[in-house]
Amino acid sequence: MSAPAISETRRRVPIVILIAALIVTAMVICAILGEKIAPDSPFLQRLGVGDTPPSPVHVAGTDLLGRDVLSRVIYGARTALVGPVVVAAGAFAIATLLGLLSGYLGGLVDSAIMRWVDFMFALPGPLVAIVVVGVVGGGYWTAVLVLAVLFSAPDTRIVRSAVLEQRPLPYIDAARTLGISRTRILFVHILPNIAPIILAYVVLDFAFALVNLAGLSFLGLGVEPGTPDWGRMLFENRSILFSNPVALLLPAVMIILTAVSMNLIGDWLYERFAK
Amino acid sequence: MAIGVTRRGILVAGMTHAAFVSIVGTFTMAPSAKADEQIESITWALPSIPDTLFIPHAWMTYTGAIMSLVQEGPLAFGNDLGLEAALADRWEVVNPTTIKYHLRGGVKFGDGSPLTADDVVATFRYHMSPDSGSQLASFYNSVATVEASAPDEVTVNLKAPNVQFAFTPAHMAGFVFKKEQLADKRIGTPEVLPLGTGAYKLVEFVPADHVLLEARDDYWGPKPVVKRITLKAIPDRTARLLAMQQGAIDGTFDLAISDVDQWEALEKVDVVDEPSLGVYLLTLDHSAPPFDDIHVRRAVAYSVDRKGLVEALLNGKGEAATALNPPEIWSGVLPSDEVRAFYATLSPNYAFDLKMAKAELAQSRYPDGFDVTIEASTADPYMVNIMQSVTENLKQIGIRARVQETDNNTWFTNYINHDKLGMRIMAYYPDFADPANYPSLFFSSANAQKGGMNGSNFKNPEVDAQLTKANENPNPGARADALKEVFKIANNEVAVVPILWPASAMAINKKYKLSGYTAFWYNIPWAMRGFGLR
Repeated sequence: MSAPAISETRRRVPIVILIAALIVTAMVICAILGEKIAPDSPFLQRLGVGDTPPSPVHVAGTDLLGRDVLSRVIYGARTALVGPVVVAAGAFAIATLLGLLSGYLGGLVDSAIMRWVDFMFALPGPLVAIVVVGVVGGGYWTAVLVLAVLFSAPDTRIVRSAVLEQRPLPYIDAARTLGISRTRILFVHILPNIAPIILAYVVLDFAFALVNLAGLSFLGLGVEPGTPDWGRMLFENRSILFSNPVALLLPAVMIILTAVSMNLIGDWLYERFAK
Repeated sequence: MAIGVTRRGILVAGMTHAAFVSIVGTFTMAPSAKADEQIESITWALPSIPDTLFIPHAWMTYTGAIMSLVQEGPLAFGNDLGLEAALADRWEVVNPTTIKYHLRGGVKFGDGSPLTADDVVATFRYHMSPDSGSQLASFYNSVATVEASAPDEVTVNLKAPNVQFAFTPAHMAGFVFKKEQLADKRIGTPEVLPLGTGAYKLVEFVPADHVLLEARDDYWGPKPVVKRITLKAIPDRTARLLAMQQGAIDGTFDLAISDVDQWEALEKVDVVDEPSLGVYLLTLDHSAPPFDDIHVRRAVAYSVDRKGLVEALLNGKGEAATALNPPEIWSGVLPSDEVRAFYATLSPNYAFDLKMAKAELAQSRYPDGFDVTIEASTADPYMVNIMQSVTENLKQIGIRARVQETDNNTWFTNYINHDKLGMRIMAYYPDFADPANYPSLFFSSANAQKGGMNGSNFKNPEVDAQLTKANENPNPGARADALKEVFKIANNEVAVVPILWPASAMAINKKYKLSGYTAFWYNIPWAMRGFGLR
């Protein structure tokens, strides 16, 4: 196989990734437009109707308080996406800063940051989130903050490794010789070169955060009752499993579809840019 | 659908007992179990297991369901909810303010020590002591003195005649502790398990997780049918249903009525439902903003879709509450149809009306609304769903309300401690079938303090005066008139916001029977009331 052929293969986007991107795009549209594209208000209760199976009027049926399940799932995309985006962005803001410092400065700074990373690795992530949210309270946003900090540990290692690869390269030596400041070398010269790796892991972090936050909501530790949220819907609609199973299955499917799609995209980005 | 039960006859008899007549209690016992009917062990699920088994500090239905098998009071509630003898083989009302309880001989605590009059006196005095912090202190508000008038006799002197006190010795407020144990600060913990004279003794207790009970061979009453009972906490409704389906548990109390269809679909499970005489309500702290404003309280009252909640959550097995008392609890003084007619006259009636709610809020000092957080117990089958509905309606009128889920123990402790009350949801099941029970707890000024159930901090001299009449006067007509006045004022002032009167349901494996399931399942030794193999 010739070199141009390899390049062509790398450039081609697999159909699976296209489908995954379509799914994620659909989720993003739901998150942005939410109530505007939902067939009904996600908050409107019809207590006299209660839980009903799918019908032409309510395609995914209604929940115990008579709320339209499909509308809640569409509206729930906002909570489902915003939290993980914040977790992924927060984790990489922390990880990028620490990874750059650790990898470039080395010495005591590197040791201190890596011991912190080792400590964070020793913590059982979801359990820590459950304990902190349970004790401190604050619900969803506390969970987001905790996950952002927890996720930053592995990401710090990845950024550090990428920096260590860049540090001995001639362009860094040249920058140093020219008297460019450390800050400028780190953020203007090294960071753009490791950005593809960061991007790939941000996407993967998003997928993990989505599942973790849904899990916390399922345990009653995420969003407050009444909020349309996929994890919360799984939790609340268990009691109507037999009368309207769609109320349980639909948010579950949405969590799986989004998480798998983001995983596929993250893997593909990693393969495409980071290797 | 109305709950079609009348206990008028029973309660009239009970009242007469309490107020006028010297009574020799007739002791009703469940039939003794045959040897071949002995059951080695059962496992029973509860939505919550308390952090302590010391009732004065854990006054909850689930504590009662455990400790009613371990401890007994001088009297007990029969299957008809009337009073019957227990530790006292007879009791006499000497005069309207003096009651004597003659203790049964040969009764022993779980450690083999004999029951004495001093134990009963120490228990009653413990609740009465302001230093004890007993959550059940209000049951003894009417008591002046308690004395051991003989080695086997306890005399209670009331400050004034009080119809309700007659029920206290049968309620968990009357469960007798061993005197020496009451001095131990650790009582109720796994290290110092409370002793009782009941058919079972506590063997193991892991707070918030499970309790193991073992039948006593030296119990004074009929031999227990079940040798060992494990009560375990399964807060999650679906997990409880699956545990029942898999045979991991033999039964459970406090089913959500909305889940009953799922339980009935289980092959080996019987579901029993009974009128609960319970009530779900909102309390609004009258002593602090924003609920010190009558218009805010009325706005909240208009925002509760009671009928809708009954349809959605109770499948019709219950009733939208138009007042604090379910009509059936009046049956000792007023027939339920007359009660309903009276409730219909209450004005305003606070039927669900968001326009009226908005108009009331606009007249208040908070026309732009305010923020409020309401705690709801996740162990309760309805609270979170009720509050989801209520908060959504409140948001529509501009009150930014949110629900905070908590465990059952935290929810109740925060309520009873009267700490930052604001708006709270309360589920209350009767201590006894008397119409003055609820209003005395929720409307009396005496209970508007830490340890009291008046979570609205509602204080009204006229209400207090009428409650005194209702409690002191044994005449049913006079009591009814006094209580009607109380309900009129409470309705006008929005002392509480009643929500619904639910039915109660339990599930039991079909190989067993429990014929003595009543609205007071948490206050009777249920495993001794017709429990056995089918």
